[in-house]
Amino acid sequence: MANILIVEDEKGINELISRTLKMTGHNSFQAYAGLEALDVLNNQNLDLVLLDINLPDISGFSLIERFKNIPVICVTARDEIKDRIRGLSGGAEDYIIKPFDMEELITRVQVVLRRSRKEEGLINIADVQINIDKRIVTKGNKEIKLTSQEYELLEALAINRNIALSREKLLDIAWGMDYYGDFRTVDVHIRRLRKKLELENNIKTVFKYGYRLEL
Amino acid sequence: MQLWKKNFLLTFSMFLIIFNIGLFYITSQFSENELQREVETAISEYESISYTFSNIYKDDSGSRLLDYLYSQYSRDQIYLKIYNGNKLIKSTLPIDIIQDNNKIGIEKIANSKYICITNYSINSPLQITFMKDISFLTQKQQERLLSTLVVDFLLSLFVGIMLYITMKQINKPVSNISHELRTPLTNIQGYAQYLMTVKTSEEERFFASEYILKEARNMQEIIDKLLIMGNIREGEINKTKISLQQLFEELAEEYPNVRIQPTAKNIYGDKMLIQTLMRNLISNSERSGGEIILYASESSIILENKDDFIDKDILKALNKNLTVRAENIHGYGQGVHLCHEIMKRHKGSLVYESTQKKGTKVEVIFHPLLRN
Repeated sequence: MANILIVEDEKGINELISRTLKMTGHNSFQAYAGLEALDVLNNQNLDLVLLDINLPDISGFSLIERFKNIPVICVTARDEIKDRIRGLSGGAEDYIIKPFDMEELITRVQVVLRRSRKEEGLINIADVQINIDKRIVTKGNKEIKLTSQEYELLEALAINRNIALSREKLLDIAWGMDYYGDFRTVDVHIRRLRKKLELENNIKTVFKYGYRLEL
Repeated sequence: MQLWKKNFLLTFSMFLIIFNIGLFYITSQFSENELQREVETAISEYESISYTFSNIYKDDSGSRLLDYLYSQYSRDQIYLKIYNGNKLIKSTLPIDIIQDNNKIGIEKIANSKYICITNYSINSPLQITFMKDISFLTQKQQERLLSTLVVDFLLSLFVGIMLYITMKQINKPVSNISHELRTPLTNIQGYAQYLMTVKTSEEERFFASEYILKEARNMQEIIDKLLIMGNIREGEINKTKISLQQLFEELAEEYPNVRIQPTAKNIYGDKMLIQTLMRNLISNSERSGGEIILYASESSIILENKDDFIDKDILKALNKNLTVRAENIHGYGQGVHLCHEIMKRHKGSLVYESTQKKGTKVEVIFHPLLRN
């Protein structure tokens, strides 16, 4: 759970990011202009900023410097390399180009939060606790042995909680991009995961798409 | 590298290659012709000298006249060597050369260039070798080359800058519009994915679908305008007689805020484009609320809205057909630009007037030939 500020003048995108972040268990603050963002900065304890470079009042590049100790991810339609270099060398942790994939955004947010140690490596789902740093899963203080693939699946679902992940995506995550497996492999492992952790009510099947861990 | 920059470099380097080859070919041809002419002159001079000397030598050898001629010729930078049989009569050559008979040659001797001719006939007792200094020609050619280089450089620079500006301008709308399309696209993609992956409530489903619809309409609008813009820039417009009364009535039906005043006037123009123009103007004016009055004057269609006020800077931009920054206005800033383009194709113009008191008045002025 982290406090994330979204600085984006496009209302639709701002709202979408905010809703998605809330789904995955984060707190979000919305700002539609640079000055507004600075206002939030002064009043809130922030863990991460998602920053659009094209703002109506101040250039996003000049804002990056103001968020001194807070990691910044640039979210922008500018895809020229010089802009990317400018953003990253100016202190941004990452750079996402519009139009982007929500899963990508969530993953990058998670990576940056982990890197800056703002996110503790523990995720709780019902009485199951996942220790991401040690890759250990416990249920009611008792360690549960998971295979490597089962663990990867669980971690991905937990990070993207409340958001469905496609079978294809899950296959990529747990078995790697090069693995040409059947999607049914995913189904089998998910079934085992549900059984081992007694998460039948939390890991839901999404029709024709994949799985979602609901909290 | 961006595509237009690549195109620019390619076009410009092609231009440079062709232009330079052409220019230097012409210059060298010119120099060659000049030399040719000089050689021809020298041959005729040789002939006249040969004739003169043969005659003088026959009746008066070694006279003062000959000495006078020698010095006269030397002054003109013509040098001679004359033999009678094997006996040397006189030589004024700066450097002695030995040339075969019937030869015309160009010799380079110590920084100078000479045309050398030896061409005596068996009938004549004299054997004359003729040498003419043409160094001035080289100097002239060098000067010409230098001035060609300067002209070449300046012209290339000029063409390069013009080409760069033009190509950049052509590219600019494309990059603007691709940015404008990307924002609604991100929204559509994002909200569709949201609907698909998130456990949504009724409210959220409605919210997301609404956004998708709205953004799809936005894109539709942008694409329509792009297509129209492309058409009016490239294609011929299709002029027909349009009854203003009918046009006004159609618009009043479409926009409830519009009040029309009856008119009997007709104009000639592309109906689709004129409709697009009027719709754009009305929907811009509509945003401020208030009643829009639509009527025809002698030379124009006039649109008035008392509640609408446009800021001075924006007004200036609207009238000059400059880009208005999208943040300062509603929409994407393409509408009025499109209207100007349409009027340009009809050889007419579009004038905005706005005061706080009277509100905004838009005048669509038609070319005299296109109205009656």
